[in-house]
Amino acid sequence: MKGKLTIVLVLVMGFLVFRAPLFAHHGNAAYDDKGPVTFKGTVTEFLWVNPHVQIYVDVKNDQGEIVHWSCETVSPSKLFRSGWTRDILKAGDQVTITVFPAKSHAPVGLIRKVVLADGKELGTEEQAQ
Amino acid sequence: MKKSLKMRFCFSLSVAMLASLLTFPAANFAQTAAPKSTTATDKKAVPFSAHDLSGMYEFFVRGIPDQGLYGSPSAKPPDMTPWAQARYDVAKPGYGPKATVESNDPILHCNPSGIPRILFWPQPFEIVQTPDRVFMFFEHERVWRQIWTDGRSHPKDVEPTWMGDSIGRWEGDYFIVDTIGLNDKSWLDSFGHPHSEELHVIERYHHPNPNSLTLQYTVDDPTAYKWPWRSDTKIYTLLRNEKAVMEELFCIPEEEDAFTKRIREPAAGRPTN
Repeated sequence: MKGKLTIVLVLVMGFLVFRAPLFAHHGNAAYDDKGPVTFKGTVTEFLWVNPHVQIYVDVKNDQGEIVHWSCETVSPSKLFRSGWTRDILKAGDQVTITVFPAKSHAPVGLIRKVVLADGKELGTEEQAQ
Repeated sequence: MKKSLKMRFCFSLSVAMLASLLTFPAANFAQTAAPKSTTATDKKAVPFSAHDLSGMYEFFVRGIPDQGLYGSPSAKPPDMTPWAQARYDVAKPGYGPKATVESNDPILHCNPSGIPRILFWPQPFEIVQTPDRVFMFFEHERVWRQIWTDGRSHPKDVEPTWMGDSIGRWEGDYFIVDTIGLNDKSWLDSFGHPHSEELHVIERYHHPNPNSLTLQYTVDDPTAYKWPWRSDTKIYTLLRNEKAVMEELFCIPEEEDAFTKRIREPAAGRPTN
């Protein structure tokens, strides 16, 4: 299944109850926060910028076509406090990303989690301590 | 049956933990060893004083009551006047019951959040106290406010601004901040509730332990609301050590526009040019 678009719908009890709503200063209305999607792909661009960090990923779908996903998350400063750095990703890296996908069905998502090739997991929710 | 009992136990435990978080925010840190940092924000380095508010705090949106309302004082607003209702009707927020991808939130053009909305972004702010003022420096929008504590009154005929005119005083262990002189260009919250230039905000801060700062505030705006809107208790948490950092986070129209073009519009199903 490696290299193929794998979509995993995760509906775990408690996931929505005890996880904080994701922060995006422009609002979350565009995203489906009840149906997270996970895919593997190759980073084409990693933008460590305000107002929101962006990761662009090429993902091969079941038909063998490349789908270009645009993924956003919180600001660089919030990610920094969650353990990210500006050089943690670069073009060419293999990543597994879980997003809340756009309700419009465009390949755009609000990032929940990123797993690097070495298995390191990066969350986007800053913890109090 | 065993499984069910276990689940019920887990649920009860989770509820109890949540309750302790709300009631005793300091309990979270009880098992944490005292940090050795000597940064200005390390409040363990000096004897605790409820009157020393200095430090870097963050409003963590934890998904618990009061903390996730995106700047609304509480879940139930007072009845609006026709003046406010007309404004609320044309507001297109990105959050809440009226949330839409076609948002016309003023902050999307980099208008300042203003008081009180700036207090509730989940980004840190630092409090610095001097003999005659308390300053708040916000990471979000890189704005700051000053609260005069030298006993002065509000100026007469104060010119409306985004951050207003603030004076502060101590009532026991509560720091009371009284703000007027706010323009009516900002929204009260991320749900699009309006306010007028008559807005009078009264904030009551309490610092019960080194790790927590709580805020209850009242929005008094007879032009917009039929009675004062009293807030729930909002909880801020002290940031320590390597987390006690604020970075440059200006709102840059160019960056907002680039983000809108590459993410917001495609997410909303609109083709980009």
